[in-house]
Amino acid sequence: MSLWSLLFDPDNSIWVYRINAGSCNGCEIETTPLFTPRYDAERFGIKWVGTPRHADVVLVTGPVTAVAKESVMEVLSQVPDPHVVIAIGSCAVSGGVFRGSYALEGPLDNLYPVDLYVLGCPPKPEGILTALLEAKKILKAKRKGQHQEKPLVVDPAGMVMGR
Amino acid sequence: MKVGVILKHIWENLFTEPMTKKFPKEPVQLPEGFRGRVGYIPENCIMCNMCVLNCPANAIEIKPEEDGKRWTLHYDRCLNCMICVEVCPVEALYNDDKEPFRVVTDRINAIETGKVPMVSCPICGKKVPRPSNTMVKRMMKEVTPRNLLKAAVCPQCKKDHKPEEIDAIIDKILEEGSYPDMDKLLGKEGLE
Repeated sequence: MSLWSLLFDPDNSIWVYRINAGSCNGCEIETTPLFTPRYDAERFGIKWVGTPRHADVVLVTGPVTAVAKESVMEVLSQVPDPHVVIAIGSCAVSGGVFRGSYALEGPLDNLYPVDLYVLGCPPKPEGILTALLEAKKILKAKRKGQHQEKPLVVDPAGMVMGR
Repeated sequence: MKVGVILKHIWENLFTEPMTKKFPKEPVQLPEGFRGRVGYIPENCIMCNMCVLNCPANAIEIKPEEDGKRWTLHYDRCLNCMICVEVCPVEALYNDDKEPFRVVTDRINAIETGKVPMVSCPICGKKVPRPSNTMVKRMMKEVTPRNLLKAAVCPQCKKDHKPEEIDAIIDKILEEGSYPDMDKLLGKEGLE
């Protein structure tokens, strides 16, 4: 990597926005330390932004509840293309312990295509950091038009009560 | 006085390393008792369903297959609570704290799975699940082909035959080498 691309390539600095879709705040507690001196994601050029219109990467935590669904979809529709959506924690990935509840509009990938999943309840900050570094590569491929779109994952069991 | 304290700190900070964890270059430092991924040992499993019943997220399932039963843990639902490890009566599950996190692009295939095959009863030939190594160790002190064969005798045959008869039949089988599922019984085949 040349010094020029390190300093001026937009692929090296991704801007991150976070949505809480009905989370218990466990995943937020693990996400926030990324931007503190202990983990310091800014040394990789990752920056926290306050509006989805500036974001390259969207972190979603929590199972998408019936109340939160409308807001989540509106926020995701405002993110400019190309963007990467990362689901953080068991709830956002599959519904977790709330899977099959009447108050859920399903896990996130039933509603919107998700690029990366960080598993765990809650995941370690290192895991989220790894996902962000991986998102850099996906974003680069998407800008060049080389990224292969995955089909929308629909978990039929995600909507069924119990087993 | 205060200026002296501040100057001392500034002087120290000029020569100490930053407190930031150098994560991608250096591995994650895990605390003792960290709950990582759930490891599965099919040799020990007796398919008792305790983990399935106690899992708070319904992440574990046991499904019958042709020639055996398959145990599956779906990591996309797993909470790493290790209740399954606590309730497992035969030490078939363990806490593998070597994997601190997992990032995937395909959540449906993020699973831990294993299969326990069916073996035939040495006396009547009826299909029974492969006996667990832990159970054999607890009942007969050590895991040998002879003890495994003894444990594979089906319940009906145990009622019909006396223990001395069973011992004699197993001695005969070991001499002749006529047992068809010996590889499965010893864990060389069929276990995944």
